[in-house]
Amino acid sequence: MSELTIAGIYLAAGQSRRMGTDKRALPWGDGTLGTAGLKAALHSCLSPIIVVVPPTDALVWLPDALLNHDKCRLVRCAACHRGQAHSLACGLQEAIVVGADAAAVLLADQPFVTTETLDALARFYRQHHPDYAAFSRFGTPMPPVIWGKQMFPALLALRGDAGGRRLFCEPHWRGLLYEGDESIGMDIDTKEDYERAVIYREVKEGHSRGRR
Amino acid sequence: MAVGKSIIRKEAWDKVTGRAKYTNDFKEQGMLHAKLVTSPYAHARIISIETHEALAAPGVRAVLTGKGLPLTGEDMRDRPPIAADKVRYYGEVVAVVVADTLVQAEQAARLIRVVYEPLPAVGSPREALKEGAPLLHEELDRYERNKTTYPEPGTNIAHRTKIRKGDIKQGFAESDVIIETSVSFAPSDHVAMETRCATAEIWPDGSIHISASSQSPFMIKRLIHTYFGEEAGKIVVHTPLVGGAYGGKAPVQLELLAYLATKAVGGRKVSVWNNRECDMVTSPVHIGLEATVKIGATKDGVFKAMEIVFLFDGGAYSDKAIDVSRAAAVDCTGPYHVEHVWCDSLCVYTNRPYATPFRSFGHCEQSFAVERAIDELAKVLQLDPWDVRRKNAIRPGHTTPTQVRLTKSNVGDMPACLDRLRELMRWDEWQRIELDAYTVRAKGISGGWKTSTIDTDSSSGVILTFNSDGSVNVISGVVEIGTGTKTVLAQIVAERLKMNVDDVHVKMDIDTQTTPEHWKTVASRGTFMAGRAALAAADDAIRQLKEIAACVLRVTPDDLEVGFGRVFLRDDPAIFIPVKDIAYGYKFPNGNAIGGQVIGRGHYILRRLTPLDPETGAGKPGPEWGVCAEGVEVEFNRRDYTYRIVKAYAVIDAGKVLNPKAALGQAMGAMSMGLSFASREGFLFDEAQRVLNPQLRTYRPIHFGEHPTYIVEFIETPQIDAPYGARGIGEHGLLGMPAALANALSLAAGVPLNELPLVPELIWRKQKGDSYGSL
Repeated sequence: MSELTIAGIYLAAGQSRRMGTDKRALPWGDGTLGTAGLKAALHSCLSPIIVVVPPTDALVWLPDALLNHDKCRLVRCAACHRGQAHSLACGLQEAIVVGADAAAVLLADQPFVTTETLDALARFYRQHHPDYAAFSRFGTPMPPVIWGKQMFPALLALRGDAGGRRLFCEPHWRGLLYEGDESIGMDIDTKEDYERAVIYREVKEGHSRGRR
Repeated sequence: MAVGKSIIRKEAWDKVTGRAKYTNDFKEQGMLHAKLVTSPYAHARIISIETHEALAAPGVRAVLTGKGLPLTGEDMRDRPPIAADKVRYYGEVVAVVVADTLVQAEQAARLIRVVYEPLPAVGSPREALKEGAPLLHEELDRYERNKTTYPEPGTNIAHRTKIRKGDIKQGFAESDVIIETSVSFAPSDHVAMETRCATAEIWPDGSIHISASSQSPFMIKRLIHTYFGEEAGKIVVHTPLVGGAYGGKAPVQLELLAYLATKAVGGRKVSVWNNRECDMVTSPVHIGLEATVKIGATKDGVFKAMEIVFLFDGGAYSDKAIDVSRAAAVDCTGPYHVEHVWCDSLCVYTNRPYATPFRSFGHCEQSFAVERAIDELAKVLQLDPWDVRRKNAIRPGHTTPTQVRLTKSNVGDMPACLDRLRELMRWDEWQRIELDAYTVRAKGISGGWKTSTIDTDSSSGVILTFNSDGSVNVISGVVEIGTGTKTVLAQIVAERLKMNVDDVHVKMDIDTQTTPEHWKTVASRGTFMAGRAALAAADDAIRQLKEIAACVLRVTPDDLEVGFGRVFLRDDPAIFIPVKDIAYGYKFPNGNAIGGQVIGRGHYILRRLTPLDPETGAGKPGPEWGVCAEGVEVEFNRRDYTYRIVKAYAVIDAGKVLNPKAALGQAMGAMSMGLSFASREGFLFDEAQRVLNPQLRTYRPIHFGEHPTYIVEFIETPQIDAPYGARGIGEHGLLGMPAALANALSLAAGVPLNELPLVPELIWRKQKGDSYGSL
């Protein structure tokens, strides 16, 4: 049996309402905030990576090198303004088109997600065949999460701003939760979040430099 | 002499000046530190645990997981020391990281990656007993257990105690009135100031040295032998002063982890220490309960029958919870004579932190249920609740629920306690008054009794050694957990040897290699058992002193008396020899010597106790029943549902008060604990059974300045075979507090309050807000 295909759906179609400015374009290390998670995804075993953006996105946050990456597929979602459920649906439809057995949902505002985390999630998914495998911290599941294709209809039925979170509470789905480092799932919604995250990243990198 | 005086505790100066040292105060160069990785889920299968990143982190020496470890548990071995295949409660240990420093261990702990498959969680005993409820222990039938544990495989029932006395049908048939009351409360914490901790190391000779903040150092030794096959003689457990225990330090948990950790690092010393959050949920908790009490009585309030169901929330593992559920059953009626009794007390598995005794060992829990029901009965019959209790008070000649015939010695004087309580509380003047439009004052009362359901072969030993100045050292296995028992032992020894209590020195810490065994420092049995052993040791020393003195004074030992630092001729005290001259033997002027250091030894084993009959519960569970009557006066605000506890009363039959101030301290301390538990303590669980308040910011015990006025009196009905007649008093102050508070508030608010903690929101909900959703 050939290995299961797990596509990545990189949701980058949010409106950055609470940030007040396009958060994907904020500086992050030597790139932009929006590309940090994407790089991790492109380096992981997930393929293809479906990047969901608004219909008129000028893509200033996304350098050509990444956009033209073999694994990268851009999807412009006309309904994205209606909420996350609709961006997710755009991504899922593309995943169905490419014949994916499962889809990993990633958020463009989670810059600390690592390739290792994604590969570990994929490994557990392939090994145990649950309905979903999610990253979690302190017992709360969150993206990145791999949804098996049996769950696609339930995900496509979501409306408005609902994410897949509500499916975590439905007891008939069998889930695996990968309890990990608290920083990995950190998402950035406000200016304060961003400032905190920048400091956190500097400390983390400074620390690791110091160790070497 | 020494008994009956308020001797200041021997360790008091050290404690008030901060010099006293506790387990975690003993730090050593080179000691390693452990950090516990705990489960964020209450019920989940463990799919995998990745430790390689943590192992590669700086300073890390070992990472332990649960694979291949033996199951543990005192009555039934159902608990892996580290969860292996699945986790069964929020906060359960899934891995232990050992590193050079605590910070390194904590940092590495974050690198442990665990994959869980969440399972539906069981939230309360009633939920756990529903048909189709998820099973916590699929292999319940395969667990090793002792002969008196009766699990019910295929269910979540870890153990059932049955009490059948008389004929319950006949009892109800003879009743004019039958009432039924249900009560419930969730598990809570002990909140000892010192969190639980243990260190362990293995010396090159293979001996295992453990230090632990524990009530059961001798049990640690025994269990490490049982679980891991280590030679008992090679296990040495050391326990210094303990900073509060309240039953929470009776079970053995962190000690096992410390032992496993030191083994994993080649015997180096490892410290396992609970931070507050871990101490609250990872280590065992105060048991929760759901209970239904049905009382049948005549119209003048005479009890005819009691049918009681206790569903104890044992949590994920049965460990000591089985014992607690049995102890509550044994005394299920409270201190009242009931001819026909039917009780089923279940220890039920739930996905909550596993339970252990709390000061009173199932009795404040049990009496909350029964005493609430008695007040409800009195209301229905329109009788004075005090009268109902007085009418049914248990007396010598009656039998207990387990059919033990009571005597003048083995039970305290319940009517006397009630009578005195009535006077102290001015019960007859008023029970409920309205001070103004919003303010109501009300009084509530409760009875209480307790015997100690402990192992039938529990024993205690004491050694007395003499110093060259004639002073004495007392060495006993009772742990000084803050109750002052060791000072009381000094008083007992001083009294018997007729010497100054200042000349009786007490070895405070325990070392199981050199300290004679005291089963466990639990169940208010320290003074009784160790006191008897101390008396025996003193008598042994007296015999030796007399023998040597008889030789020197050329008389027979029978003519001699020991006291006041001398051994003297009874007939003519002017003929004597100082104890100091013979404490190390006597040297004649010509250099010849006789005797040697005087070493008194004594022990005591509980006598004629039996296990309970599995079908009827008949049996003798403990040596005596101490009784008490207690009351609470509250001031309740009808507008905002807040209240103030104005006064709390306790009248306790102490048998004989050996140290008045210490006894008062014990009673008041227990009362405050009971009020704190009843008024504001309890874990909050979410739907997935995660504890939402495992920290002292959100779990708030009673604070300084919030205490009522405590009014405590003692009745003295001696227990004939106890040291100077003294009964256990460490727990009785607590027994009636939850029920008395609930009874007072129920009267004040005019609505039955059968849940704990009694926070204003609960009272509001019961009175008018039950239909509102959660706030």
